[in-house]
Amino acid sequence: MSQIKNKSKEFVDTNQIDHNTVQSNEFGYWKSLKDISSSDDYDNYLKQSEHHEDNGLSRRNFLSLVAASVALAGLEGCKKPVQKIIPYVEAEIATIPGIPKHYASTMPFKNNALGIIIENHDERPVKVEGNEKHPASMGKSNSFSQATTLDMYDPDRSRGVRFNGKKVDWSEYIKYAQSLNSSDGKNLAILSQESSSPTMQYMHSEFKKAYPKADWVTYEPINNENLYKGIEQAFGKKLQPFNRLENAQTILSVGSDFLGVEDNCVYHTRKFAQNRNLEDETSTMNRLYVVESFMTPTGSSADHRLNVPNHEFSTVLKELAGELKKLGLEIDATPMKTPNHLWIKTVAEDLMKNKGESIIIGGSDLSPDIHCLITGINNQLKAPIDYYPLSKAHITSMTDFKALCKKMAKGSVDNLIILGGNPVYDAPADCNFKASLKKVKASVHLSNIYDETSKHCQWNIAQAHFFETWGDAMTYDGYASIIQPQIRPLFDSKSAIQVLTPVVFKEDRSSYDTVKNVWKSSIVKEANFERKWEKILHEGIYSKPLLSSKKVRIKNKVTSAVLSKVQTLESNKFEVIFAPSSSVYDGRYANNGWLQEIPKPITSLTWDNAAFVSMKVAKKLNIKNGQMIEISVAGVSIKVPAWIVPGQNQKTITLELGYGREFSGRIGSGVGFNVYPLRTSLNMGYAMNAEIKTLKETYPLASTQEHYGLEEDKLAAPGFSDLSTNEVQSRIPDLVKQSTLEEYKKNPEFVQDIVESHKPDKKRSWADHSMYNPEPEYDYSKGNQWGMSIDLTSCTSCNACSIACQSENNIPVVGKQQVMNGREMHWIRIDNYFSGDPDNPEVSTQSVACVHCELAPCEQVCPVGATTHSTDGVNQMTYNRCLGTRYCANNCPYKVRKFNFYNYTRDLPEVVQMAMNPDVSMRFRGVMEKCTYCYQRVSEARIKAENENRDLVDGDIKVACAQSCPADAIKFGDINDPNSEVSKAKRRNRDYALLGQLGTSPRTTYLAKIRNQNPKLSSGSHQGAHH
Amino acid sequence: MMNNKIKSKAEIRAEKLLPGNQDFTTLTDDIAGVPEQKKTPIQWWLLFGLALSLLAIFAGSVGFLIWEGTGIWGINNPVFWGWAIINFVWWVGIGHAGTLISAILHLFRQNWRNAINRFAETMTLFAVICALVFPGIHVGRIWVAYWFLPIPNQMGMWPNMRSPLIWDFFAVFTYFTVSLLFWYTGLIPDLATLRDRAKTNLKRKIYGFFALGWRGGNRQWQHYELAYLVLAGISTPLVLSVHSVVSSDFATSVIPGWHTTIFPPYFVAGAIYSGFGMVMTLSIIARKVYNLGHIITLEHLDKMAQIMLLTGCMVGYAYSMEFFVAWYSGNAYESFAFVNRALGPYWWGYWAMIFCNVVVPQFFWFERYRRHIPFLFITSILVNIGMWFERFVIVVITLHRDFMPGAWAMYNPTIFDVSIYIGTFGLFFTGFLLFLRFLPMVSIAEAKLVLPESNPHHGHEE
Repeated sequence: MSQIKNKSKEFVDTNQIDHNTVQSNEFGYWKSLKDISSSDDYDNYLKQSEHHEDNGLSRRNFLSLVAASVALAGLEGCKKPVQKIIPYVEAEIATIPGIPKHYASTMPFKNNALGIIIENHDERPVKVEGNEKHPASMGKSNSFSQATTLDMYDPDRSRGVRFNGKKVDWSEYIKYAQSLNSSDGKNLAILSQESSSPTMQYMHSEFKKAYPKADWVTYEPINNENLYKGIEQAFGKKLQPFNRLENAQTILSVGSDFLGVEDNCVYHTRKFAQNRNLEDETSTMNRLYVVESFMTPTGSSADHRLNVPNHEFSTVLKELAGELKKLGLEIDATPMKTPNHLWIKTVAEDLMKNKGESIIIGGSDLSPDIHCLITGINNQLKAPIDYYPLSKAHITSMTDFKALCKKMAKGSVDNLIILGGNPVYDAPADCNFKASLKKVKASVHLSNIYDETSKHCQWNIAQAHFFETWGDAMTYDGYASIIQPQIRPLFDSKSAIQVLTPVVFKEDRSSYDTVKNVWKSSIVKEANFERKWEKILHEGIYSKPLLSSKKVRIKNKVTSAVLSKVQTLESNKFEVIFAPSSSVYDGRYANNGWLQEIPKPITSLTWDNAAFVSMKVAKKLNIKNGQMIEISVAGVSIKVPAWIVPGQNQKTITLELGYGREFSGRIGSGVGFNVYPLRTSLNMGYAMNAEIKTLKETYPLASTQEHYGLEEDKLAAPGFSDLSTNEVQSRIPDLVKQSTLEEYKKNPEFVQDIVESHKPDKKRSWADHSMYNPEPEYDYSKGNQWGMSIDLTSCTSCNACSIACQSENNIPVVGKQQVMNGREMHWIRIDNYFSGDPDNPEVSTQSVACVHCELAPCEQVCPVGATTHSTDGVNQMTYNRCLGTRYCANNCPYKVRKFNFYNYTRDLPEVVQMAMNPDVSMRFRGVMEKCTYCYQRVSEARIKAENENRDLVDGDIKVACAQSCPADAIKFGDINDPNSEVSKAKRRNRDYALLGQLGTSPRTTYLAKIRNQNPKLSSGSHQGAHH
Repeated sequence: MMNNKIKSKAEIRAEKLLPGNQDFTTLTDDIAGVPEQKKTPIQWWLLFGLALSLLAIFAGSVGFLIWEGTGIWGINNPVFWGWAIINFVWWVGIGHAGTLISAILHLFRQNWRNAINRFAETMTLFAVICALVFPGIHVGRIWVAYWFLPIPNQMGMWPNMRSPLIWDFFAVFTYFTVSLLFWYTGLIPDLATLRDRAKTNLKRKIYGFFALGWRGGNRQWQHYELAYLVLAGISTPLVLSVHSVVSSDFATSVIPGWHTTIFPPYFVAGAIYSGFGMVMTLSIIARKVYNLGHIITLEHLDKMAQIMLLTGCMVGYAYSMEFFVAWYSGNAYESFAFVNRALGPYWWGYWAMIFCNVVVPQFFWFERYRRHIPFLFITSILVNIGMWFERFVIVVITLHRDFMPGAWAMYNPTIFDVSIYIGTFGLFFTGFLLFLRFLPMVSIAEAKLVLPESNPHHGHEE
């Protein structure tokens, strides 16, 4: 093995690159350069790489080395991590080939943590699940954590340490770090990302001890600084609010996408959905009001939504404060009346009615003043919020960051160590970070990919993925857990702790020792540490919180006077909102194909960002979908394609951050448009007075769903452009059955009221009508019969299920061109339908996968019997038997079958192949595929139960989508077991079969969507077209 | 010989169908003269060169298709079937005229068919070959396309006999086999004629081999006529069944717009319609190129135009009934499928179909247009364009918007959809031109039947 290892090292060593080029050496793990892909991105990469293969490495040589290294990559990757103690979640048994093992770990995300369980196959981490014991996860997860597996096996990741582009040994860096000793740190600065790691905190304090005069600055492009500042204004102290949504009956969100991309979304969604889990018409549910300027998953889940531009949020809040004062809260506010008065008044009444159980959540981008007022009101409302100290976390300080930039620009920073992040790309435009960085004599950049910042730094250190390194993280409410490595670093990468170690301690230490020492000395502080430590590793959480919630008192009287400044837009100008992307966040996930290709909530866009404009603005400025527009703010302008989105405020344009990366590997480079140039530190949330110019060019945007009626249907016959729009509108009530809580109480069986034309003949059942299989071949009343229930009331369309499914079932990424051609492969698609007022539509979302019809139209028509029914009621797909007539897909009323038009999986790099689930076959060109109810998991559980000589019990099988769903909207289990979760769900009176009138008897059924509309508002602002 | 001066009905008919003073000798000379030409006409070479180029395009495109996969086409989710299936149905449809003309008209003693039946049968053969290409190449894994066949194997795999695609496969294959036999049986006396007239030994041997020892004796004729009749009897139900079965690919599905009981008769009418269109196109070209205006006469063209008028009205009726039924059913999904055909984004496809298939043949109510060769020629091509659009309407417009709007999408064909379609013309015409060059394009034996000489009881008919 050691020989093999040396060889692979040699290979990497030979692969030297010019400092200023893209990582040409990163091709080492591809089978063949030509095989990678034919897309332009890759071709550009190839061209660039060819330029730099001249260091004694001809293309031919290179390829032969590639061939050798292909095998090595796999071998090296399959090694266990060096540290010995990795307890198993399940009983510690010897490794049985083919039997996956599960380890608890933690996904750090900014200053929060998500407890996860990682499924390992033969020492390869391949799947992330939520950790039920972890308070922020509760067994659930989100799309970022589901997709992180692919980040781990990204072949474009940086490798080893490089100095001025030359590959050097880690010891060189240690020497450099030790040399920092010469000064007392005056010229040294550290720029870190946000973190809640106790070990990083410890490193910080040690660093401060060693270099008292050095700077440690924390920066994230998307941060909560304003929130903390607002709380500081209110309480005199920066604190972390923790919204206990389980105790909230009335929720008002002001510009906060707390069910989408805002922090702690898994917890929020879980607890929010918990109070929407309607047993029957007598159940109660929470009510969500949302004030927002563009449609988010939160806004689409709202019971009432008010469409207001960001800069007018302060007016709304002032008016709300006035109303609340009238209702008896001790707030210094003057009542006012705007056109939104009724809405605000009603919300105020509702908040007061549920005082103690009502809460206002402000978006992190709101100004500190607004947060101060919200905090004050929440305090008056006795809102269920706990406040935790922030002292143990690294949080962004824009003041510090700007000061650092100034210092750098002056040339007074000689050594800058950037611990992750990509500030050259994502720093506010006015900070001139790039120019300042050039003045720094020696800069170190720790990054997972050779990115925009790496390009301008002398030292490039490959950053370890959190699957590869020891570390720790803590939730907002102080629950700490360990990050356990699952695999030895694939690419000779280091963690932030490891990079800091030689700087602080002047010697190299393993991150394992560092983390363990910190936990021993400052966290656990109990006798019998080793046993405790093992237990923490085993369970993935330390049961005692490190923080306790603080009693808070309002410093000054709550007053709306803090919002004295009123911003107004100049005429014909727009407010430009900078929103985190649900796919790439701030740009960090740009090279993740799963996230790039997942259709975004609401817009269904993939592979790009766009400027979201409202329908009215589009009409006025003659903007079509995909039309390029020029957005100018204070003299800076960018060109972005437009996308028309219902619910977008007419005064606003929304831009998603994180796209237009210059250096982000082969997937992410050049995808989308960089909008950071417009973003300044004055207001990271939005920019005022932007000018919009419609350009002539258009840009192809890949959306997985056509949204009818949002722009004129160009292809429709003249005069009939509303044809499809009207049809879609008329179908929504049939597909996404829905009602208001009030109506539901009056008519609990409303899902049975179907459109007249679909009413079955009373005398005969649908089975009699069916031409498929009039006599069932199998008695489904026996044995385990699998079924699923999806609750549309709690689904927030967050995409976690779809990516979990992709990760579990090895679903290929097909690329933008294929998506544009309607060939995306996701087994779960999320349909969005809009109805009502285009400015404030009702959104009906529905996740659709194979519904496993008992009388399946697809099975009947397959000429070779490749799709058949199992005795446990699963519609099976036999890939080997499929010859690809695609007849089954044509005959599927739900259109959930996906076809491999090309060989999408053949060219997967070896490294990416490691991310694939060995329990699921890879599909080849020319075969059909679709949801299998994660049959590999069913089999695994059944085998286990059989070995234990018992029957399967409810909960033995968790399918990937149900397991990840943070809203817990998906239930899966045995429908023959009356006590199973799924049977209980299916017994509810909201249960209906999608297109049930076709007589397909689907096993996946839906629970109708109930909106808890306030009767005072339901007739006014929120008219649904179809009640 | 009393009524020598009064022309018998047979004579009148013969004059219409074979004008001029033709007798057995002139007919044989005229028809057999074409394959016996010493020098191949330059027009033939030009056309053959063109056909071969198209065939090369076909071969190249299919090769690339096999190499890359069906992704090179425009098909997507939800339009999983595109031009390949449209072309399949289209070519099968064209293939219908042959059997209809040969078998059914033979049974009905419609002697006017005798000038065109060879043409039509040959066209059928090559059209069915073109059609059969598509089920083979449109599958995702071409190398296992033989799984369609019920071949006993050690894996115990067997086709799913409930699948209309299997019915389809059997129906078209049966049709092809019977058509081939029918065509060949009809050729035997003519092959013998060519053998007897052959100037070189090689030709005599080849024609002689295929003539199966035909001597034209009475007993041979008796057996021959019976065999021909039997084959005509076997073929007749096939004319009705093949396209009915093809239509069940669609009719047995659950998709609104496909799930209709009108499909079988409507498909058969459409198939005959397009078949006659194609026969018309080809015979107009052939009679022009080979100066056979006295054999394939205006009378023949007139008759074909009448059948086209009939079948055109039948498909027109079917189109309107589809709308009526969709509306009458009250089923919203069904209604939309049809409204979307006429007024949706592919409205042009629907109206092209209506124009070509329903509007254009209405001119055939007037004899003037039925006998106007340029008009007939253009119409026959329009009819086949219209029939192609009919299949486009059925396949693409139906699939692109079915039940769930979340899965609706547009379909755009690619260059390879076009090249493979165009390429099948290469396949078709290469075969057809070879036929014209080497075999009599009109059945010599049967054409003679129309002459008064061949009717021993002339004058006593009826």
